[in-house]
Amino acid sequence: MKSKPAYLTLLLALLHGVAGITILVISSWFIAISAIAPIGFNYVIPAVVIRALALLRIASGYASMWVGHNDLLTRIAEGRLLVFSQLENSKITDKAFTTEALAQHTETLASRWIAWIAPLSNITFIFTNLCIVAVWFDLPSTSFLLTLFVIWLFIVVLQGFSGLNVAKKATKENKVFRQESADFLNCSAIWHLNKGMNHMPKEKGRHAINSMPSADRVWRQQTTQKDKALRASWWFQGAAFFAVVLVMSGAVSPISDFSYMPIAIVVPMILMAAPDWAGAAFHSITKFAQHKQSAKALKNLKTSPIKVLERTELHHSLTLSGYTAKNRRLPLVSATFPATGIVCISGPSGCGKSSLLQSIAGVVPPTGLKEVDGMRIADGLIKNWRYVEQEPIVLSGSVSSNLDPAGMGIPLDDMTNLLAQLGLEALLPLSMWVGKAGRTLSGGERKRLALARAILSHAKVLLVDEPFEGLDVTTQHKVCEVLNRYAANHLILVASHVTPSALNVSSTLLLEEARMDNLCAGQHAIRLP
Amino acid sequence: MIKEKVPNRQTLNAWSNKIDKAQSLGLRTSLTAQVMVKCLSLFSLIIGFYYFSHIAHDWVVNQTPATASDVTGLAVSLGMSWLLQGAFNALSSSARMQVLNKLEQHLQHVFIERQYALIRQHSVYYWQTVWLQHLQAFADWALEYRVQQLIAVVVPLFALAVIFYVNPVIGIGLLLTLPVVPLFMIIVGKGAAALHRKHFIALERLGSLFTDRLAALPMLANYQAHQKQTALLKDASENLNARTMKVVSVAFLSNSVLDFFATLAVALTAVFIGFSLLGELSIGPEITLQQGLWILLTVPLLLSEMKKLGQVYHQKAQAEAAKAELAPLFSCFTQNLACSAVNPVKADTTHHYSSEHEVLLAAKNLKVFDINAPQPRLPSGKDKSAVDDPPALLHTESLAVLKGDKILISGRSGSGKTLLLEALGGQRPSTHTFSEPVIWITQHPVITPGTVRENLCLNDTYTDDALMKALETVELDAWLSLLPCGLDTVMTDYPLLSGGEAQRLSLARALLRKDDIWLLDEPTAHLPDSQHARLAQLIERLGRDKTLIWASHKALPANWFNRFWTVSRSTNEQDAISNSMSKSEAGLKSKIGAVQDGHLQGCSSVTETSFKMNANQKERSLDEK
Repeated sequence: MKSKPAYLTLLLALLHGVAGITILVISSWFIAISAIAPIGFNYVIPAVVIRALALLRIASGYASMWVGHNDLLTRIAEGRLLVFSQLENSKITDKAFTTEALAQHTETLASRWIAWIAPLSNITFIFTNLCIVAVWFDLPSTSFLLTLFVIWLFIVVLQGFSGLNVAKKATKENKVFRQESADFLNCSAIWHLNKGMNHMPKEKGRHAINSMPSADRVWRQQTTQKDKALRASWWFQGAAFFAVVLVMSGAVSPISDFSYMPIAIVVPMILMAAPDWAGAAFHSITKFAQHKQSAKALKNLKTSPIKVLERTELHHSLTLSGYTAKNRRLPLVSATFPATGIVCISGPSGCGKSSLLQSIAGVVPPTGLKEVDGMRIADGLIKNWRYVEQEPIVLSGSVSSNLDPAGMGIPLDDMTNLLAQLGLEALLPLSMWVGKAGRTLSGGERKRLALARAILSHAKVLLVDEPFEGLDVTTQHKVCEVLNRYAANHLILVASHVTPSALNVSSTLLLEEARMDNLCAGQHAIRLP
Repeated sequence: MIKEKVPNRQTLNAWSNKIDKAQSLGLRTSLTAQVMVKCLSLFSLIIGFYYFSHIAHDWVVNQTPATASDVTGLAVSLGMSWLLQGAFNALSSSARMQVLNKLEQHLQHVFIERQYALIRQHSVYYWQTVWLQHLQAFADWALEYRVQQLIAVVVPLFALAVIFYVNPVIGIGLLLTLPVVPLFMIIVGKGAAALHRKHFIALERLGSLFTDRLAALPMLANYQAHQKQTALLKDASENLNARTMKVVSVAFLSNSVLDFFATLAVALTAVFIGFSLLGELSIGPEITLQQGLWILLTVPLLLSEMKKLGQVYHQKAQAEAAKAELAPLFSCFTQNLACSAVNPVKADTTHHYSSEHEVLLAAKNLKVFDINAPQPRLPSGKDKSAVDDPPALLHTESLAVLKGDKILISGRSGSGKTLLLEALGGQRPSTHTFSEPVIWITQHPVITPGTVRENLCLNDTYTDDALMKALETVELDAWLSLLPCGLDTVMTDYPLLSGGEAQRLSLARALLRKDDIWLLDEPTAHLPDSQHARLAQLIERLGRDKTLIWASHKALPANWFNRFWTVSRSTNEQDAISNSMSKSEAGLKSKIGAVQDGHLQGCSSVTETSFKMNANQKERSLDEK
């Protein structure tokens, strides 16, 4: 994700860090020199400098937090918009994909500046400059500082590699757990038959159904990640303390003129405080490792493009020959539909009604031949044919934006009228917010909202999947009336295993079950009364 | 609020203490151990500071090298501090894993107790989140956050005590200014906490705007709405971000307050000490370099631990969210009832075949409760009638089941047929339940992703002959012969079974087992009428020597059954609500909303008719669904 680097955040954070270290150094030197109070020592200036640095630190701290956060929010939004716009006219084919994971990944990527780039670069910058200054001014015990710097670099690099490793393992374990637990939870209806479950054995190598999956391995990886950071910081602390002891004992360094000057305690003070200001680097490495994982996950997101075809008008008939969704082992359908009216596609669950509708609309790739008014049309998503799903998605937004997602300017009166006809008065006024952060809709309400959405878009062909499930009799009646009215000028294919009497069905397509015998036997023409 | 629900007013702390006691998580001991070790470590560090400053004093003021005792003192105290810090790290990670494992065990326990009745209420994703994230959020808060909280209180007191001991003037100065910090923090913090929550919610909203549209990609492609939605997302994000920044600008003040005091404390102390050493200021006792340096090194400790607390503050918000989900699940534990003891169905599979008892169930005043209610004590304690039971979702005066009965449960969808079955099967808390294990045949048959053999055997072993015989009895032998690898064929994503065939497979599973009570929850609900008739006949034939309790709203011949139970709700108004809700919500949320003040209004009731109803009345129920 290429965007402008967060210079301001970096700068402010750097200022914050530098101010902190400088206060430490100058304060300790100031006290030391005040103790011996040489003649002509101007004590006012250091005192003022200290107070000024303090204010600088506080101000830069607040500013860096504010700027950093603002930057973060902007980046999250930009990152998500970028991902979203790249997904135009495609769909995500990753089975293990969840939208929440994607949201999480974009957030991790966007926070890279304040999570690890800023801390790591700050500490490196400060450490380098301290070493340079120490060498320049030839401070006593500089060699210890340099050694500690090298040790720090070494530990950071080491932890970087191991952190990346652990993060990779953590992602893998996460995936495995999700799969196992999904299988396990899906079988909840037959747990009672599974005697092994009641005794909760934890045997390895058995199928997940026969013993409970455990999130233990996932947690272990995360704990390991944290442990490694803590351990790195612990070793660094040990090294720093060891250096302090060596310096203070005076055993290693030669006695020079400077050994007992106030300036001599500057380096030891820095060393003593090193675990505090340099130790934050190790936790940033963890965030770096997570960042790498998120970037990889986003890159490997499997999408497949949806080919969108132009608007197709249906004047006479729609003919299918040997048609069904590809690769789903379903019986093939050959039928002819009129240009207006309701065709009911019925059959038991699992026989492929939804798949058939989806393939006709072009949402899934089909096999077979589709002809409109005698002319063969290509495979693809047809712009003005609408497929209304069995479990429709409600977008977080107002009712009116849900009914008109493309912003085509549908008159509000039409919307209100249609909602009233479908019995959705509860969703008025149109500005009401529905979806995750607003009013939750029941299953039946969702279906009717999606149906309204499709009808308001003046779809030429309407393919509706199970519109009557979960509705009581009066509401079904209302839906039937709306469908009947719409069918006067349009073709409606309704897949339902329940057919209310109020529906003006002009013909019925009965799909047989996708059983082993009719699949093996090959293509089957299905009856069309 | 309904009494049985965990009241929202119960704070996180209080709930966590309850859980700790009930599940013996050992939180308290881990907490104290960690806090003590860390405090000892920091105390050693302060001692180390003493030696350090002493040596510095020797250097600068006395111009002499460090004495051996000082050096050893420094080495020992720094070494101790270092080692104790390592011990603290080890303790915290082991405690975390321990608590997580215990919590997971309890969660699994709850799953086993409540089984399908519980799982079906939420999506798989929800349960995965509870399992993977909420448990962790709670453990992190309980250990890491609370440890840090305690340390942030104890350590400053230590440090202040040391400073006081060294130089009372500075001590008093800090003592006067320091309380301002928590006060200020509380004031700003309360506001900040509320704002933090809003920020959390704002981030969630941003996230959900995005995830909604992601999930709806095919729909957006169909409506060619992608660009409009992108523009919408952009607007909404900008709006949200602007509002959030206004909000967090204030929230950051609490962090800045800490920073302000910490930095100022160090700076002003340094200046004060410097001036005292120079003789410019002479308040209080004489100060030496050693004392000054010691104080300078110790002052940061006053607020550094509190700063660390600020960094893990988000854990509290996450734990609150986790508690909202976990509290109802674990409520049976916090009510101090041993769930495992009460549910006899889940005991070891000792078959209660007492020959003289033909009666499987004789219930007086049967009540069925919400899934998260604690299991009430069995009516063996007869004088417990005054105990405040949670409000019942289903109630009936008397119900009896004899061995070999064929019972038909009818009623409008959402009226509670499933609730009754779940209660009898032991998955839902109720006053009475079967004492024998039962077999369930649910609406949606479950096919596990394994071989056919594994699907039938699950965890038991049966001979191939037994498997073939069972498949033959349910008329799946022809199907089996068409499979490429017979019993070892793996069931894939696009299953080799149709809906009706899958139900037959679950019947085969049931046949293989010895349990004699079958609970059938609308097994033919999704099948067309012809299939329904065939499957129903098969079930009737197979279940001749079993006890069947069959809930169905489709027509079934009345002469198959010898008892008829009807479940109905007591007011018509509630019917309308329940019918328009989706399946998973129906029956549960509407019922809970309908119960008022413990009165049984809106609760379902079961009426039994032991005479056969005439066919007309049965057919009426066909067009509901």
